[in-house]
Amino acid sequence: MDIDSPLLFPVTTRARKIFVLDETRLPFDQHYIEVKSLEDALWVLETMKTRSLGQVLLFFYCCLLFEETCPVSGIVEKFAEKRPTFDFHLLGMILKEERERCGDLETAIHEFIARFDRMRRDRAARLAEILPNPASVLTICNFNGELIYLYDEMRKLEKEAAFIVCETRPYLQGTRLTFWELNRNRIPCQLICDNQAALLMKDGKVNCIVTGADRSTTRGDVINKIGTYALARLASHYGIPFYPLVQYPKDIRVEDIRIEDRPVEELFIFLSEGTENAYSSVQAIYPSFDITTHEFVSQCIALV
Amino acid sequence: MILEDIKEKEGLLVWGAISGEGLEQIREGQDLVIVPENRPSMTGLKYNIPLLRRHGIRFVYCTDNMVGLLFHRKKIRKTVIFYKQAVENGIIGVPGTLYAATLSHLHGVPVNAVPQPEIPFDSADQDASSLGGKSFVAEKYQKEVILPADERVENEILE
Repeated sequence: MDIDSPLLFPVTTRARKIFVLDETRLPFDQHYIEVKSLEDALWVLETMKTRSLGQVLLFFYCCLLFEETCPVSGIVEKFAEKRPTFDFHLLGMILKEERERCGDLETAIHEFIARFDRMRRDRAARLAEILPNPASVLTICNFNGELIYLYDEMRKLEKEAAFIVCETRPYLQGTRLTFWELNRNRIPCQLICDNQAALLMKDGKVNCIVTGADRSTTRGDVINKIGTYALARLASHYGIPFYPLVQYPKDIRVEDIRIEDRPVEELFIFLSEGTENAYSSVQAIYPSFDITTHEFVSQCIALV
Repeated sequence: MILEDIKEKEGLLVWGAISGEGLEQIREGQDLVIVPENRPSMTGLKYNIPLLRRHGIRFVYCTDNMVGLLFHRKKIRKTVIFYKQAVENGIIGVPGTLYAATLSHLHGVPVNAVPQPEIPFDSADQDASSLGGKSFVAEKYQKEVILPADERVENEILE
């Protein structure tokens, strides 16, 4: 199938400039931000203009273009300070190994991105083998077009698939990104409020859960978007398998990974324009990830 | 405030519109009230928070999908569900009632069910397609949004 999603590669580089898809403006506006400096990149990262694969690509391109002003180790630290849950130290090590293998940074980055895309396509193919037919897949947040790959691989196996997308408060990545990109590719999908998940599971409307994972351990624990743990725990209760898509699991204690607390004003960010200040005095919390321990994970689907 | 500022078992989770009876229970417990937003209508933000503020009761606001993490981190001592109707062997409550009740049950947190009041509250948001009255779904895809329904919870989950 012809795949149409700017989220597959949300950050690009042309003529030694970086262009970042502003994901906060989707689905209304497909706008790219030109990143001219490391400071620009850090602002883009901090304000959630990009995340997930976008932050990986942004990191690589910053290393490529701004290494003269800041060494890769310094870029790692600056990125990790902005998004502490994600493993930018690991990305720095990957980049170092790739550079040693390829000889130069630009080739290393382009080869890595091409290989990563082949690996995620392969990961989707392996998951397609596992999922039931027909599959009614509950999902949360957005993982950059990989559900489109999954649907395509399901069709190759002559399996039917449809997706139920949790809206994913507060940033609505489920609504604004996943539901949007699935519809754009004419893939059957429905949208729910996050709290409707339990009823759908109880009523037998869902027969598997598929999510991304920002971090994972070799034991099978995952850290992902807030709300993932509740889905996994409920799925375990209702006998529904839970499959996170993971990359580069580490032999570490999941409890030692810092969970990022984001500014609470962001809880109100899409509520309605101009109301953030109206709610600024509301005492609130915004932990942006949660931990799902291995006993609630049916199988991690890894990049290989 | 951050999650770690909430002490273990300090929280009392509310789901649905708080009634006068519920308010008394909350006062007695002197807990920190955990107020999820309660999508789609945002009852938590638009009804419960002003009510708790008027009565000088401590609260902390979160999105509905943060409730799992709060249970996982043992922040919640008790859950109070405000239901619309008592039925044989259970209750019927607003969207997400089953989500909150089942997560409570799975984490060994007791649930108290209390009738909810009639609230003079008319939300612009009827389903996941909109937030604060603004639609995030193109009209042609609107039919693919699953309309939230009232949810039944059996007594065995509430015990």
